[in-house]
Amino acid sequence: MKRGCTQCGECLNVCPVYRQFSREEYAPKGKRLLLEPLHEDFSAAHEKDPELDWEHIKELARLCAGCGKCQQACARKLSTADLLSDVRAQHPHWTQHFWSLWIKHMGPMWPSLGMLASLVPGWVAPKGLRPSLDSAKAMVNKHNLKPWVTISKGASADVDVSTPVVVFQGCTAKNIRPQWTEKAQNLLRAWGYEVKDSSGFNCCGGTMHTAGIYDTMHEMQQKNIEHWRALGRPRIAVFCASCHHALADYANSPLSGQEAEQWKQSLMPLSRLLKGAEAHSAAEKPELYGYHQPCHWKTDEDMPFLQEILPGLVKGNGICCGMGGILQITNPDLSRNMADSCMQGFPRQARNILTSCSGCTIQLTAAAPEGITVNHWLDVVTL
Amino acid sequence: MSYVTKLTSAHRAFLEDLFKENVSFDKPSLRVYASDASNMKGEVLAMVRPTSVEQVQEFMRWADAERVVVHPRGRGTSLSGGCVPTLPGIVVSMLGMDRILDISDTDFVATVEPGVGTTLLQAECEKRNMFYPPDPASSKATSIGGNVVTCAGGLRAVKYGVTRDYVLGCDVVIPGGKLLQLGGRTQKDVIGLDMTRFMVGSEGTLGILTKLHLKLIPKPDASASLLVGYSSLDAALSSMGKVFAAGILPSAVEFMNETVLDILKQTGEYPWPDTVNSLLLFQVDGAEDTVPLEIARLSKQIDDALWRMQGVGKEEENELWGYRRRVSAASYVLGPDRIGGDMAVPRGQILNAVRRFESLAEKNGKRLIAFGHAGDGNIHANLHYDASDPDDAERTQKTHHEMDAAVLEFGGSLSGEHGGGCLKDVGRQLGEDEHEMMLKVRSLFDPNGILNPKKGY
Repeated sequence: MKRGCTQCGECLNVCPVYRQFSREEYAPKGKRLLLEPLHEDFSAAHEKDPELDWEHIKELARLCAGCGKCQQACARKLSTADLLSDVRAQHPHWTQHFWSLWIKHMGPMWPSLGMLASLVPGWVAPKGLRPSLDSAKAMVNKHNLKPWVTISKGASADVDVSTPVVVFQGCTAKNIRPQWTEKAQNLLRAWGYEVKDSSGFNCCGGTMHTAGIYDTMHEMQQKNIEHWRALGRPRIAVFCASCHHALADYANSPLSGQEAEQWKQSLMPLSRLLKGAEAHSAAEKPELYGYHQPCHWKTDEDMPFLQEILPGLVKGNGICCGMGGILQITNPDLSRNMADSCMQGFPRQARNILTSCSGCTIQLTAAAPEGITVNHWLDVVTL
Repeated sequence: MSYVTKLTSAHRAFLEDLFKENVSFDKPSLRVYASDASNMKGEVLAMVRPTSVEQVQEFMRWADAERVVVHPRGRGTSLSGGCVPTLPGIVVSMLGMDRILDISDTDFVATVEPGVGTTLLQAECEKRNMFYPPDPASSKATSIGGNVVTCAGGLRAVKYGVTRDYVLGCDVVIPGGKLLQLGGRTQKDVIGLDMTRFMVGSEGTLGILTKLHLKLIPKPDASASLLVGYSSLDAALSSMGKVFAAGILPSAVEFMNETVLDILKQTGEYPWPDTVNSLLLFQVDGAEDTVPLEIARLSKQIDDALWRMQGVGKEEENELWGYRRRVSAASYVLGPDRIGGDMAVPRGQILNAVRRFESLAEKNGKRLIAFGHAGDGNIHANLHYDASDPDDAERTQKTHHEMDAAVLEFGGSLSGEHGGGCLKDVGRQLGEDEHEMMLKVRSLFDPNGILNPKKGY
């Protein structure tokens, strides 16, 4: 039996959901007290309270953005997001099948749905549907931002180009921001890397894990691993923090032993492979811009990279955009409130926000007030 | 005294009308308010979360008239069951009153509501070049209100004192709904009894705090730390004595016994040689140009150390303090469950007390993890065990109780920081007349005994 929450309260300070409510039941410790008795790792069957079964607790327990900050703060390194996933997996619901369908098969339809949503004026939609409508609109690929900086491999760049690289694009880039993948590949080629074909990868499986749809997650993981093996185990360049977070977990499962170690060594943020860049700012570069740090980087290497090639970065003081997990599906209002709080965490002069996660880009685009743009940093970089 | 054990529909209607969305009756929401970091559990009838002093007053008027038990609560981090309902009652979460009302750089006073997070207040003061020194190790998790009602201590107590030394005044709502405004914003005030001090450390037994006036001091510019290794705790504590004797007052002095060193060695990398079995960690603070001199002076005094490592400035110091911070997590190698003690003894008795605790632990087949604030005699005496092993659990409990008895022999206190809560038998420490007097004071504030009954003292 694993030891559960000690109720030390360290998670309150870092939890973006708690920050919205200032109520202990919304903090990870509150959710763990409800979820642990439902999980065999933490509790014996006879300890279950029928008044606190999944049906009674789910409204409260699933208010989690899956950001993982509580796990970092926890002395026992307990992950509330993982616990919630496990309990969801034990209690299947039809919405999980819809979500699986949406991610696995409906990706090609996302741009059209976004276009359709853009035709609906905000005031027509009932208030409760507006966050979802905004999210759908954010899927539209405007692709009209002029790059701020031209980068090239510097003469003193110390990078090892002997091992080929494959770009992991993730669902967002694959379906609604294809220019990110293309740009990442072009940058890598300009640095001298041999770039392998990305098309055999599918979703990282992270969102399936959060939703507790483990069979689909395993299928996706297997497919990605097979593609990597088929390419001769190249380095994997990732430009989305959430994809990186999910892919990093493959080293714990399903991979093991030497291959897990090899996977771990191969997986890296794109920015690490672009070390030693020489940068020339364009007239379009704003003097100051905001940077939203995604929760899912264990160590964010993109921010120092950006600081080097694009001076003027100001990190926002919001703690999570609310896109992680499937909060946007289970509680779109809360998810949107979190995004709004994030947007308020930038200095007023920052009219352009950059980030390094596909999900954060879409979420903050949906919440951005008129006149403020949100982009992945790949949008503002060119060769 | 008989109290309400079940809320009627009229009770619920009153609470809903007063608190609107800030009241909960559903079992999932109430679960978290039934316990705290002590992992004990009580029965909660409802949770209310006031956002104004008027709500607190109206609630306390009603609760007193209806004989409803009230359990005030901050962030629920008490290790002694201070937030756990001892009788079925209504938990009053003060996290809805979490505004910093004023930080004055002329008065050097912060006026805050009790739900403000401790680290937030510290950070806001430091932004203005001021300093709120009380620094409980759990400050990231705690609220200021919780710190005040437990008189939280912390690492810097040796130089700066504890929470009580920084509370100049407070507003408190007592049973019946009366609002008392005690003390104020002045650094000196000798008129009448010091009622503010009654509130500090009162463990929520006298009233509900709604506002606090806290003393601030200028922020020290710089700090430096020194981690020092010895062959034994005996050698370490004897060396520490030389520092104080030389007239040096560090801002923190932490000690770690031989068992702590053992678990640190088992669980990670360490820079000291294997001959080191006990550590002291000093910190000095002050002006930028005097701190290097002060740390050098301190270092010179401890000429009998086997090993030392110095850190100047936050980054370098962080590495040194990282070893101290690792202790808690590393302790779990001795067992997945923990009982923590936080006894305090006069500084000169630390070694005797720790050795006595260790021998009690050994007699019961346990190992004692002893570390803490050497500068102020506060010992964290932790025992790890496996709760699923009844024999281990029993031996651990026995050791814990025996240590409580032993600490009194050294002129110590059962608790230096966590408070009595509902875990400590305070009658062991308090004289009969003294205890009776305390209970009389308590009944003056709370004649019907609705506030945290059977808790504290």
